[in-house]
Amino acid sequence: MKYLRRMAMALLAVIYLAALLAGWLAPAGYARQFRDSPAAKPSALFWLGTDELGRDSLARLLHGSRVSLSLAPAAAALATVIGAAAGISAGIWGGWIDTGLARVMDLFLSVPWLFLLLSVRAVLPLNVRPLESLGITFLLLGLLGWAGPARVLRSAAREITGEDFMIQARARGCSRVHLLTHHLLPNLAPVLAAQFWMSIPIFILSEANLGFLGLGVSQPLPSWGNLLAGLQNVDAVVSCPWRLAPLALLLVVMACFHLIVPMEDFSK
Amino acid sequence: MKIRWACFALGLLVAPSPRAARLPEPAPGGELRFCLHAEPKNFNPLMVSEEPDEMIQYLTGAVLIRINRQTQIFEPELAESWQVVDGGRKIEFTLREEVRFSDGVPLTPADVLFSLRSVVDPALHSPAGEPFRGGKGSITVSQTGSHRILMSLPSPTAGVERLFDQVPITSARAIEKSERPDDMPVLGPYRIASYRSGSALLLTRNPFYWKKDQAGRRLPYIDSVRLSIQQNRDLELARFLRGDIHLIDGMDAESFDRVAEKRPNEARDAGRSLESEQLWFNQVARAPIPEYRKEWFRSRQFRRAIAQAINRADLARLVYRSHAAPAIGPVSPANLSWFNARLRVPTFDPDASLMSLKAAGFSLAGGTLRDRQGHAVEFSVITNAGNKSRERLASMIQQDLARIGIRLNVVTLDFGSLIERITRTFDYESCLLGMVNVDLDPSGEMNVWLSSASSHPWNPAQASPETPWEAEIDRLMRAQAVETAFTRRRALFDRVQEIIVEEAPVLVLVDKNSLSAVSASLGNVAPVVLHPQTFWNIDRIYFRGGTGR
Amino acid sequence: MRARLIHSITTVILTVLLGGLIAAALVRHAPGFGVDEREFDARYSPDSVRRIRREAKSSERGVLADYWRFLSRAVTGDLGVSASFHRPVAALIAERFPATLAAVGAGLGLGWVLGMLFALAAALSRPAFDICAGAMAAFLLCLPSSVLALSMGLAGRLDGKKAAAAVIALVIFPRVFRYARAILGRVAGAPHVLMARARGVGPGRLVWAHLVRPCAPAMLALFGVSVSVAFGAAIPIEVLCDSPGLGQLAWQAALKRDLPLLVDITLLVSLVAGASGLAAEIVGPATAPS
Repeated sequence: MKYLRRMAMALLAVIYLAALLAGWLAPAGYARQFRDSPAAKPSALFWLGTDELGRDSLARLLHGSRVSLSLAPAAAALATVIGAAAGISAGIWGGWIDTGLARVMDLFLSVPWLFLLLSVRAVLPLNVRPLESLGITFLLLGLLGWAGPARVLRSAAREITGEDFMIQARARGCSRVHLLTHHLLPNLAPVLAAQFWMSIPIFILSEANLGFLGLGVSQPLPSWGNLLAGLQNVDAVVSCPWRLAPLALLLVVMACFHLIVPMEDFSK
Repeated sequence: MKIRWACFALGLLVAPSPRAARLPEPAPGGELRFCLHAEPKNFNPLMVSEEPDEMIQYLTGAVLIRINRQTQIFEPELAESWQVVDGGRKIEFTLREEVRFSDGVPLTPADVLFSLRSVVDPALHSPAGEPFRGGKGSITVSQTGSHRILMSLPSPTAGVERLFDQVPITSARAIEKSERPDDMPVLGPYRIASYRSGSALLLTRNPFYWKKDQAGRRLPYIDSVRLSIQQNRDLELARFLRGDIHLIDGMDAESFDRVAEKRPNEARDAGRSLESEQLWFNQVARAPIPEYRKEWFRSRQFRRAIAQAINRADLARLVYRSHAAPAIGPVSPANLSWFNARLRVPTFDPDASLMSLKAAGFSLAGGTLRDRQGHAVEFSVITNAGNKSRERLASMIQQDLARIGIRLNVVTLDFGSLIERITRTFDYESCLLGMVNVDLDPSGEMNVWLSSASSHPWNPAQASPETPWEAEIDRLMRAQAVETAFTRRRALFDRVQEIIVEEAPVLVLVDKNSLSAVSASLGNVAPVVLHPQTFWNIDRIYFRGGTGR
Repeated sequence: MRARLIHSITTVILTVLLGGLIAAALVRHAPGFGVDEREFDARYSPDSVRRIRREAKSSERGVLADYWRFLSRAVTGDLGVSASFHRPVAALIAERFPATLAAVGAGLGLGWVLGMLFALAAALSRPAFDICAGAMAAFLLCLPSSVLALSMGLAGRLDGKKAAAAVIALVIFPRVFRYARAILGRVAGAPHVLMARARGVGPGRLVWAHLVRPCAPAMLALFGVSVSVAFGAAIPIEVLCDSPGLGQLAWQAALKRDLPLLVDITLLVSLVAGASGLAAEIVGPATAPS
């Protein structure tokens, strides 16, 4: 499993690098329309062919990957930090703080936030750049997605708080801050890391699902959401299997993230 | 030899003529299946306003005068004949006798009186009565003979007959039962047999439908119609290809090509439709956008330059896969009576566009176009989210304008937010939307072209026309609305179309083709450009073999 | 115990009510609220458009006032009238809820059964099976639910409801499998299980008494979460599979800013999620082996 984990990390690094070097690997750019070559097959000029407007599919895939792979970890980090603050507070303090925070987590998990995303898109300034609007979408996803990690961290924090060494430390008169920084956080670190890694694919898939529902990024910026939306034309995909490239890349990236997180961490 | 010739001649006499042999014998029977794209909201024929309700109304309802969707000519329906008198102020109908509702109760002049009075009643707010409520004064409806009804309007109305294509004839009894659609008596070829919300609507033949074919057989040929509620157009297409449904109306180009590839004889392109894609600039004075941008949008040269910079041929070829054509003016050539044939397709010429902009005080430096004050020419276009074709159009226009140094930001919004911006807050810069000429007659577009109208795209509800050319359009539209001579009306409306093209407040980009899919098992289906495109002659459609697949 | 139960129920109810209020506030202040598409319909005269706007405005009050009015009517069974469908919300929900309940119920059931069976099999069998099952779960986790929904719908063999149920099962299965596999893996290696095996305890009793029962509290906690996940996933899945359930209704309500309908659906979904979580909290400790 360690070997697989290392392979996954190496593959992710290669994909990240390719995405960062998108401008060099696909110099045509993601927006330029070669109108004489719409829906072209793969060739020396267009390694993955072109889309319906003659745009280089490889360029769009690489640039889309860059967008999704940079913003999703940022959203995951935000959600994990907020989730950690809430979950650990609930776990360590207990009592009405724990009850209150638990109810807030339930609230966040039950309200239809898809509607908030719809509304936020509608109030954004008109001339905001597509990348900025996508950034705001991921920011929102991060701000709204903390409840899941918070629940896990709350449970883990309560478990650790009940351990013998924590009871001993409290009995010795250690302050709450000392308990938090010297005993709780170091023991929660693997869980925090697992939650962060597990959240990244969730946010990537959330953006992909939003694209499918028409709430994705504006033209001409590509993202995995609007690239996957092209799969709705099943016949075109069957006759031109290279159009599955975005899905294939998404699956590879998702698989890598899941392999990075050890199986046992899913129980925490 | 003579006997042989005699036999031959005899054979010619008794053999059916080649023309008769080619005409198939319509066989009754079968269940026709196609889809509604949204849940029906209202079965009350007087209050129908949305597309699924209108489809059901067309299948179950009846009107006095029907516009033949194929020839675009008025035809008598429940009115055997009619007469327009007093310059269009009055119209008198002679009703067809022996017409019955689906429950066997005869249609009476009282029912027609009830329907017409209800439609024009301002308290009821019937959508079908909207065209009647334009003028000042009251509308009266009275019975002038045993089967004669007279309607008097407050002012002359040109082309008044066309208004009755959308006026449903029903009865008070039927309205009372509209909450229970399967119990509602109707006059059309079908009646509602059952309705399951979110699932399907089943229509069965009206046993008392008054129409018969040439052989004297009662219509419709098909026994029943099942309308599935299917919002996802991809799933609808998949069902058609599997044979679950028989018709698809209003297809997009991509889906059409998929059908054409698999079943070439089932993909029907009826040519240019009355639907177009249009781009307009916000010219509302109180719009919360920067003043310098308002100045651009109010500049005729700027608008015309943008028009010249957009490659309409490419839009039609790539976005609509050549199932569209560059638009010529605000009226599609598919509108046979009213299209101004003197107009020409705006030329695509980015160099000329740039020259016009320079003449208007703009300058191109470092790949960016700037106005006199040095502002980079950058603006946004809003359109509705989820419409792939429109998003692609916007993307292509973005590229075209980039060639002349203009940066266009595409913003997709859900429809409610978009409507709010273009009708209430005016917080937008330009808008890309599709428009449909539902009413062929220009009087049906008064709410678009009049400057005081709420649907006047670029600057609605003006207290008084803010530009001389809008004042001219107002004058011309009002004049044609009361002019009874067709040629004079035509000349007036031709001039309106010319002004729109000259001033370019709205850029009509492409006219889409009417694309539909029709199962090969159906006979007598002739897709047209007016809605409903495929089943406009529902009572005469039949299954080859009589049973359907 | 009774006091704790009352306390838990009260907090769930308060959470549900607060969730409804948040949903009402979101809808009420969202762009496009109160806008009727007929305002841009060329068939309507300026007078008619003004009347349409007046009617929309007359029904608006403050969020709290609207919400209070709604709650007082809801207590008597009147859930309001849908602004977009023009029908009583109670009737709409009654028509659509069974489809969602069936899809979510079937999806949850299938997902859980498959997840637990595969997890047990993986924990007790050869590593090759464990790896294959893990890979399959990972693959399903990697696929966006929208792609799953699309492929189910377009495959054409299943109608909308069955397709939605199948997709929900495919969404739930990998999560249940990985969680259960991790917990069972830990428990399977515990000394008491090794001792039971050494003593020759039968496979049935081994699995039930020594593997499943110790995991029960954790699995029940996951069940509570999976109900929320399933209902949350139902909205986009029903939209893409064209299944006539609450999810599709909620999406249409969101697009049309249908305040009464959206608030009612939010309350219902929150209640179901809260109740399942509460049930898991109560039943969990009761199932723990003494």
